Formats: sequence, C-alpha cells, structure tokens
Amino acid sequence: MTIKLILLSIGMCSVLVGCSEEAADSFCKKHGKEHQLHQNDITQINIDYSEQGQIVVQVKIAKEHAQRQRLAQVANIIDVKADKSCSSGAVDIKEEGKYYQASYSLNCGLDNKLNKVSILVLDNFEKIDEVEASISTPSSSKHFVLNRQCDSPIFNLN
Amino acid sequence: MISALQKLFSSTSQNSIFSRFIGYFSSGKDQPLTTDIDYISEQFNYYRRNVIILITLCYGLGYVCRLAFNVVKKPLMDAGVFTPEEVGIIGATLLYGYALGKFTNGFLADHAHVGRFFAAGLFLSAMANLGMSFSDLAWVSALLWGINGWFQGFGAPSSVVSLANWYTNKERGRFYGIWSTAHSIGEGLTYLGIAWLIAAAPKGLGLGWQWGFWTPALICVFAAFLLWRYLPDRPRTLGLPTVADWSGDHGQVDKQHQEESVWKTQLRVLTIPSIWILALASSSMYVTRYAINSWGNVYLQEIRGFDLFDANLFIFFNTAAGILGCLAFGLVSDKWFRARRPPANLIFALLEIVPLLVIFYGPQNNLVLAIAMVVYGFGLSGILASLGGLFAIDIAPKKVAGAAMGFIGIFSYIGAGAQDYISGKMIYDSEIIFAFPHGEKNFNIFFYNYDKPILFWVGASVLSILLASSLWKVKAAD
Repeated sequence: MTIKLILLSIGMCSVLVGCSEEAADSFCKKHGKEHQLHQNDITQINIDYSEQGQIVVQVKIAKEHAQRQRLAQVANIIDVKADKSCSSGAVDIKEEGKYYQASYSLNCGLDNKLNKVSILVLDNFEKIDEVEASISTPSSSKHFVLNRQCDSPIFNLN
Repeated sequence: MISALQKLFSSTSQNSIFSRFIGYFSSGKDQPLTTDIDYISEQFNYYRRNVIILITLCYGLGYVCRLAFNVVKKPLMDAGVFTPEEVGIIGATLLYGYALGKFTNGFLADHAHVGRFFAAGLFLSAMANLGMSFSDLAWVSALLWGINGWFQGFGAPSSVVSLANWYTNKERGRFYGIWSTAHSIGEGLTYLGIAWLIAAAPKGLGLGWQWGFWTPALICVFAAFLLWRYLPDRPRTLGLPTVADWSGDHGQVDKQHQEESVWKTQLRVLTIPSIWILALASSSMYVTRYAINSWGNVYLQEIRGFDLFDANLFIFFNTAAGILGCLAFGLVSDKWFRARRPPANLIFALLEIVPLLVIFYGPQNNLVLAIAMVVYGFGLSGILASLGGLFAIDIAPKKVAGAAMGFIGIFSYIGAGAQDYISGKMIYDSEIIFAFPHGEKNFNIFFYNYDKPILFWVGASVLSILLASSLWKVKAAD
C-alpha cells in the first residue's frame, strides 16, 4: 500500500511540474518581473474615480506615439456608460520633454451607477504597444500593465 | 419507509443488472463467526488502524473537490468566464446539493458497503470537477457543481458509519475528533495547495484556472481508489463479531425506545420551537461561515489587494484555528458552565463577531488581519460546533439526535447556499468595468464594492447570536 501511495504521489507531482515550466516561459508570464526595466518609456494612465462621482484621467504619452490634436478630444480617450450621462470638464495638455501630459475630467454625479468606462488609448493610438495603468475607485485600487501581445492584464508588478 | 425500500431491494433480485448494481454497493451478508480469539483481535487491530487513517485522509482529500471552486472564483471572474452573480449561483448549487446529499446519503450509508459507497462518491465528485474544467456555460457548471454537492454528501455518512462499526461507544468521541481534523486537512490542502498551483510566480506555479479542477479530480480519484481497495465493510461481513461484542462495551437499552417509535419521535422534534430557533441561528451563522470561505479570498484580492496565494493563506489561518475552536468550545461549556451551552455560545460569538469587524473595518495591517482571522476562525468553529450539533443534541430527545442534526443541517446549508447567490448578486450589482479595447480585443478590469455584502455577512452573525441567546433558559432533554 505504501509503495503504491509513493508511486502515485511521484506521478502526480511530475505531471504538475512538467506542465508548469511550459507556462512560466511565456513573455506575458515573465513581463511582470521585467517591466520595471522599461517602465519610464511606456504610456502611463492614472484613473481616479472619487466618491463624489468625479472621474479624472491622466495620461503620460510619448510625443512620437500621439498627435496633440487627437489627445485634445475627450472622446478619443474615454467613453463612459452610466445610468445617467456624465458631463465633460476641461482638457489640459502639457508638454514635458518628449512626452505629453494630458488630464481629463468627467463629472458623473452622485447616485449615478457607472457600468462601463472605456479607455480608448490602445484603440486610437496604434503605435502604443504597452500601457501601465493605475485605477482607483472608492472601494479599491488596481495597478497593472496591458501589452498587446498578452491576452490578459499583468498584475503583481515588481 | 424502511420496509418499503427493503421490499424494493428484494424485488429487484428479479432484475439482474439493477440487483447486481445495488448488490455491489450494499453491505455484505453476515458471515459465520470466527472462533479464534487471537485472530479476531489481530483482525480488529488491523482494520481499526486502517479505518481511521483511511476515513480521515480520504475525507480530507475529498474536501479538495468541494472547495476548489472557491479558489478559482477570482481567476474565473477576471477571465470573464463567469460574472460574480453566476459564480454565486454555481457556488450555491453545491451547497443545496450537499444539503440534500447529507439527508439522503445518511439513510443510504446505513445499508451500504461504505468502502465502495464512499469511493463511488469521491470518484463521481472527481468527474464533476473534471467536467467543470471544460465548462464555460453557467448553467452547465451550476448543474455539475450541484451534482458534485450531492456526491460530496457520500463522505460524512460513510465515515460516521465506519466509526460506528469499528469503534466502541467509549472511544468513539476520541476517534470522531481525529476524523474531524479531516476538514482542516482538506481546507488546508485547498487554500494552500490548490492556490499554490494557480497563484502567479514566484509564489505559485501560475497554472491556468482549469488546474484548480484537474488537480482535485486527480486527488479524489486517488482517494477513491484507496477507499475502494482498503476501507472494509462491517465486521460481521468479515466473519468478525460486532465491535461491542468484541470489546464488551455495550450501551444501555432505553425503555422509551420501546414505547415510542423512532419515526414518531423524529416527527416530534419538528414540534419543538427551540429546534426551529436553533435551526435559524445555525443557518444565519452558516451564512457568515460560507461567506468567508467562498468570498473571503475574492474580497482580500479585490479590495485589500493581496495576490491569490496570500489571500488564500489568510483564509487558511481561520480554518486552522478552527480545530482549536471546536475542542475549546466543548471544554469551556462542559467545565466552566456545567454543560450549559448558551453562556459559551455568547463568549464564542463575541470571539467571532469582534474580529469580523476588525477584518472588514479595522486597520489595514497584515498582522492585525492575520490575528483577526485566527481569532475569528477559533470563535466561529466553537459556536458552529454548538449551534450545528452539540446544542441540538442537548435539546432533542437523544434517540433522534441524528434527525435533529439532519434538520438543522438542511437549514444550515440552505442558508449557506442562499448566501452564495445573494452575495454574488450584490457584488455583481456593484460591478464597474474599466475596458481597454484594442481592435477586436478588450482588456477588462473589474471593480466591485463589498459594502453591502459585508453588512449582510456581519448582520447574519449578529442575528444568529440574538436567536441563540433567546434559548438562554432552555434545558437539555433526556
């Protein structure tokens, strides 16, 4: 009985270890650790959704990846689907070296349930391959990287 | 009812396939008794050692097939396979299936070769897990997981029947305690082992969520094989005397037993108001218990920002502390309050509710969270041991303690199942999707608000203790 138990345990462990190596080799699995090496060169997005219903989006994007005119249109950056409509505030774009620093705000008001907030940066600026994003809502915050090569967001960045 | 079933079983002897099927799982016929006393003792020692190891190990391993879904909830939601509401419905079906399984399989196990019966349950549970790994349809997963709940209900009655067959009245409590550790073995394996497989490197192997079902399936097939091969039928079917005859440890015959049928007394249990109040109290406490077990690791990942491995580690703390909580409740209520449960209920309820408030509303500190989880697990397990079993046995007539526990068990798991759906619905209603479209693809980041579910979970515990405290003056029945 003991020998059978040991053999079966070894077999199960071999199957698991064998399959884990294959998964760990992919770019998307490794990128979380290596992301910091190029962190300063990629597009950064910070989104803050406050308890008062205010959405503030800040985008830092390389000039070579975006035209100022396109950045100036809120509709090229953010689209909100909520129970009630949200009003757009001012757009502020500054130049900082080789980057644009753009800021957008929308006021969705209190008691307005947000359903979907679409950030259209990857769709409208095709030269961007990767985005680092931070989103903060009244309940929680998330920090992650989106890369066109990967099927899902990369969390747990080092 | 029993005679009707016996007639059914005997009538099936005409039908060869069905009768062979039933016969295979039925307990064997009594064999002529062996007369060699040394041989009998040798056989008893051998089987008794195997039985306690097998039922503890395999019930623990089988638990992995029950809890795996809890670990992969978050990856399933993140991958957009299921919404929180669908996840809640799927989780609830297991608990409803388990409630039904506990009731029906308890009866069946009394008539079964427990080794084969228990093994069949685990094997079928493994198949349900395998099916879950291939399903991305909510209704298919709900069906499979509900059936899995019923298969999971094969384990506890089989284990209890084995304990009754192979251990004497005087030693059964001790062996029951050893078997009870299987819950923590199973929860530990799931919340650490399965989480390790799924969690991203370097803490885990970073395998896909499907491995959260494939691995439990492998483990349960392995456990089923052990049970099928080694867990014995009753001693009499092996030519051995009953354990009571072998040890000379016979119970007293209750005169009441002869005066009123068990069936009538079982019905009488349903007319005792205290049992109904206790059932509601237990049901409310199961809301909190399964809320933390089912949604706790999702909450810790979503709101507190832990990774999958760490979140499950915190949940493991509460289950590990539960072993001590169970043991301590019996000791405290017996020694300090002369076997009166209500004062101990109140103490353990406070040990459950205060840390619960710390977990959700306290400082955002990992050490505080870990301590709160341990104290919560300790308090919850203690009060669950009382509301879900010990207090019920006190209140109910002793000869129908099983029926009283079954009645409370069904209420408890209905509460737990309803909780899973209600929590999932409330979480889903709060969903905000932050989408990052690119071409035809979409990166979706989901945000949820747990304010309402937390009120529901804490409120259920408060209601539970209010109900239990209303039984302050209830005295134990004979």
